[in-house]
Amino acid sequence: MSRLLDETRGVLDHAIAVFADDPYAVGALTAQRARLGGPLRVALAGSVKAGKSTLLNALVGEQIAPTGVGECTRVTTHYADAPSPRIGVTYRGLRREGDPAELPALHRRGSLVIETERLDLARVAALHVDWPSQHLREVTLIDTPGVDSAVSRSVWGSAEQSPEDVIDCVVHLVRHLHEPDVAFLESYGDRVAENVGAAGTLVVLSRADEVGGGRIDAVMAAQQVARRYRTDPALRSWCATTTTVAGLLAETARTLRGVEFTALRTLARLDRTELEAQLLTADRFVQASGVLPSGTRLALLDRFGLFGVRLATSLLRRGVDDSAALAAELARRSGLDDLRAILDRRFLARRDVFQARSALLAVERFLARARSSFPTTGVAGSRPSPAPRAAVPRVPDVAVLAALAEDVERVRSGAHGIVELDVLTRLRRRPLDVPGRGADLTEEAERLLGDQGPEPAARLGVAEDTGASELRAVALAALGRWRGHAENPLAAPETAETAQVVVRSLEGVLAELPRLVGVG
Amino acid sequence: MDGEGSHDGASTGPDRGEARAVAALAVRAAAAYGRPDLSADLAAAADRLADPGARVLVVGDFKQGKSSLVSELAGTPVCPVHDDVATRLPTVVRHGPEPAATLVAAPDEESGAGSRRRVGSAELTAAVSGTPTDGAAWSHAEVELPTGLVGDGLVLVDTPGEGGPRSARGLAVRAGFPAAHAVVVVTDASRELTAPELALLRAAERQCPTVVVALTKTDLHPRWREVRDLDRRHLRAQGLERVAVLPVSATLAAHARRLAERDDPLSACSDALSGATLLEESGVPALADLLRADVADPAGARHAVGVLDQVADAVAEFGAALEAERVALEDPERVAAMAAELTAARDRVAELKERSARWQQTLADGVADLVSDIDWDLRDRIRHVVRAAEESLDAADPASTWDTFAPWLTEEISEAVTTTFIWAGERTWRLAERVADHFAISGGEVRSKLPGPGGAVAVVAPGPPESPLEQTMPGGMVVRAELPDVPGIDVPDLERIGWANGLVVGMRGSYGGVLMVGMVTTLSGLALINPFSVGAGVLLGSKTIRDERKRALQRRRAEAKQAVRRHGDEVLHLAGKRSRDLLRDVQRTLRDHFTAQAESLARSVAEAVTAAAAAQEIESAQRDRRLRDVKAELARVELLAERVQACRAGFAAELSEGPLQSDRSSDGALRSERRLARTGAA
Repeated sequence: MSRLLDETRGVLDHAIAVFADDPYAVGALTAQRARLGGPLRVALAGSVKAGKSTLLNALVGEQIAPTGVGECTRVTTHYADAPSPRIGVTYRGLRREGDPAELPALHRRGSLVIETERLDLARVAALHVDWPSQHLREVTLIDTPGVDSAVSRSVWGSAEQSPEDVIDCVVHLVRHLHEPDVAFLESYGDRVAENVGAAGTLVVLSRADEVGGGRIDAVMAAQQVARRYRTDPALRSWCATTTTVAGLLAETARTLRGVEFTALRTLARLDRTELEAQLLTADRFVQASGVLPSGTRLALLDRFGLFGVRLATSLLRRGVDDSAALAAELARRSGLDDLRAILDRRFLARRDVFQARSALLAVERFLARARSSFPTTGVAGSRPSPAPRAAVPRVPDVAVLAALAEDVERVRSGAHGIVELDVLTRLRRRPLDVPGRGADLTEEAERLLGDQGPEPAARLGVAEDTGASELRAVALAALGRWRGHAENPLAAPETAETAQVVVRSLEGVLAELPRLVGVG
Repeated sequence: MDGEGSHDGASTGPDRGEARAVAALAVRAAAAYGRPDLSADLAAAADRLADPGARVLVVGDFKQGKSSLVSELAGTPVCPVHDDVATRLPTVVRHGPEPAATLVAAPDEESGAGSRRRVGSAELTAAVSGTPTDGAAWSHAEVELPTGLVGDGLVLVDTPGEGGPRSARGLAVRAGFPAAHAVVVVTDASRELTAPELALLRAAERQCPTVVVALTKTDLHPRWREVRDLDRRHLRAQGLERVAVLPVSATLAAHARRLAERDDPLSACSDALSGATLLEESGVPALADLLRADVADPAGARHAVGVLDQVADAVAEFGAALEAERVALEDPERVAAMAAELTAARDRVAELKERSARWQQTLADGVADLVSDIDWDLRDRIRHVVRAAEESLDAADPASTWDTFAPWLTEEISEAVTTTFIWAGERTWRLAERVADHFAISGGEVRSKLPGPGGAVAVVAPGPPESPLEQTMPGGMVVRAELPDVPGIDVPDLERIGWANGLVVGMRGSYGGVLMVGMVTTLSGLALINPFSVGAGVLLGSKTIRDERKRALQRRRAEAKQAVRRHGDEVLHLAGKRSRDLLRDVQRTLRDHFTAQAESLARSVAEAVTAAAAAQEIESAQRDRRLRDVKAELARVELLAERVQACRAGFAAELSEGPLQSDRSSDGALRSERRLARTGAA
């Protein structure tokens, strides 16, 4: 796949030469070029207190993003792997005197402390946290302020995204999937997903532990909700899939401490009715007299939530007896494992494709902007009073633009992975129009195009340990069927087009499978 | 009235029981003294004492616990609560003789009447959560309960989640603000107030006298105190100090309610787990008390003052006949003088009833002024919106901006209409006050001539209108201004040049070019189709396409502007009709009320004259006995009048205290806490 990256680099160089007069374009394109082949950039987006930072900590397995009662993330913060901890600051416009370029990386009780008091947050473009962690080796996680914050300005809402805000995939955290959340995806989704599209977007029902007032089966209820929404047509066009996570529980499970385990075990040994009475409300639990001091109890609630304490004590009662087993069980029940699997399968497995695609899309965007002389990054203000947008700098010559467009098109159509992603994105918005079995066919097409992951087994929808010969047989059968769709003269043009792409994907699968020895 | 005993301790100053008692007594007295007309009026007034009907809107984002809170405030699960499915229909919970649920459909456009259907709880749940079993489009559900908070005259409205100011549903929720007496904004303790929630609060605070933030789910979040403090800080930053933040836990209240119903043995043995303690801890009773104190009581007091004024007037009037008789019996010489006075009074009353009376003129002139002012205001506002809209349409392509433009326009126009209506409401209130003043001056003159104990009572209850769109007119009649439904704008037919269309247009243009140049070049021996003619064709074709695109844009703009103007006219038409209706309604109400008053005054004068004349003809032997009887009756009437005055004074004090308190205290929380302390002390 590195051929794809090389070709993309070539296109970017070409584009940088073409747009040499536009500093914004050069900055954006240079940033794109620099990160090709690097970690995948995944942004965590959502409303205030949706649990973005908490989920980030859970994914990394350490408390590096600040979390708390109030609104914590006030500026976009990038978390990347590096040999040593460091917090860099970048500014909108020029750095003024007295603006620190770096913040001290302080540790306090196992968590990283980012002191933003000295910063003029209105001018800070982003914080860059370097943190040595194996979990950040393949992804750079980008934490963003809530879109509906009462105090801070949202990155998604600002008119000009800074060049470094380039992202490959988006994890949208929502607390519920009701109209406002879908409306949110509609209004911000386009902007967030400028380079991403539905195929690169994942919707996560966060804070699943609070569904139904923190009952012991809250996460299960939330999973049912997520399952129902996976097929919701309104949501379908905005994301690849939907899953559930109890963020707080996941974070705590990944960072469980010995003292916490001991405290929980003490609680679990209490009389059941007494414990239930204490766990009636958070206040009662904190103020209950008896085995643990209220400071410890409050700390437990902060880390686990009421639901977490209920779940953990009931697990301990049922015979989970060491800290590691408890952590593993909590992580499983929080839905974190599922989320990681989805991220691995759907996003990380084709990092190159996502990166190349977003780079090429960026070039195309500048091309379109130069042609129409309307910038695409500008958006209307908060009142949707439509006003003319600012003019762009000198527009390059038409012939030069045409040559660049041709270059982009050559790479795009040559890379089947990108074509697959484009078709997937289109399928999310417009399912195949085949009378009677459109939904089934769309689902199969999505799977074959690598929606569940690019490995042959995932594409063909069979168990992972299936033998090569069986895979081959399944693939050949699918190939036959889809050739039929592709050549069916009665099929709608779009269906036939999709079928052709699927056929090519299947051919690719067959080519990758080891040749059969002996007779087939 | 049996539900009253439970919270009599909560209302401190005025005594509602007393108010009801004196009203009932006055009804009986009026009947006994042979004034069935007064008796009927008073009975109607006494009925109004029971139900001031103060609307409390419960609003907030999705899944914040609105329905649970409404259920706990009402004291019984009325609104369905679900993990995921959200409330779709607004539920109105009000007082009724027995528990009942009704689904109400929006008024039919043709017949103008809405259909109603009584339903069971399962069907109610299905309809409210958006899966009606019969597929009918209901507009809201009504639940009637005999007891609980609604028994105090509060009407609770559970609304569907507010999806931000731009969503249609958010607009619908906000449209209800001006008609509400109080708005409870529900936000859960998991996070501080968000920007959309603060916007909602600002809108509520502007349009509604009482706004409270209910911080729900405090049972789930240990740090709710910090969230509450953050919320207060946000409110202060927005200049919303008056808004109180009350922590509540509906889950805990429900638990307590179930415990109380089950009468759990656990609750008996352990004090910390008893239902009452849990209920107190849930914060729901505190919120209920606040609503009762800030909304139900003032509304009730306003009603009570109005009703008691009416009672006082009636008492004075039927006392007058007795007093005239007493004077005639005691002092026959004075009878002549009194007869002259009474005749003069009768003339004045006749004048009052005539069209030329001052109050009649004030009313007629005032309404005429109002109609023209409000019409102009409405036109002016809408004209401004339309002009702004046209400007923005000129600056962009309507085809691409229509999706954002249409909601913006709808919102601006409905804001304009609402503002006009609120203003109209204030103006009508002032007019009613003026008319009442004029009537009181001339009516008071008559009354002062009547013999007997009647003191001059202000006819209009003091205090500002209770909600911008709803006024209690003198005499306790409630006039409600219903805001017109602002229709959404029709999507104009915005012509776009598609690919196929563009091709045809291009071909048409290029055809001329090919022919023109081809003809010329054929002279030099080339074929009709040659590179030159084709080149000319391409040039002309692309020019035609460009021109056609430009023209299409112009047409789109013209279409869009026309749609905007049409929409403006439509709204003006609807709202203008509604505002004129409102004013005519007010005029009729006021006229009928004061005419009726004048009539009853005339009858009182006539009775007094008759009584005095009759007294003169009684023989002296019977005179003493009759005098004793009359004196005893008079004493009773006077006692009743005193009781009415004392009772009214209590309510009036409560009323004048309310606004003062809110002016003095800068911190809404402080005010509510003080109220709580006061109610607790009682």
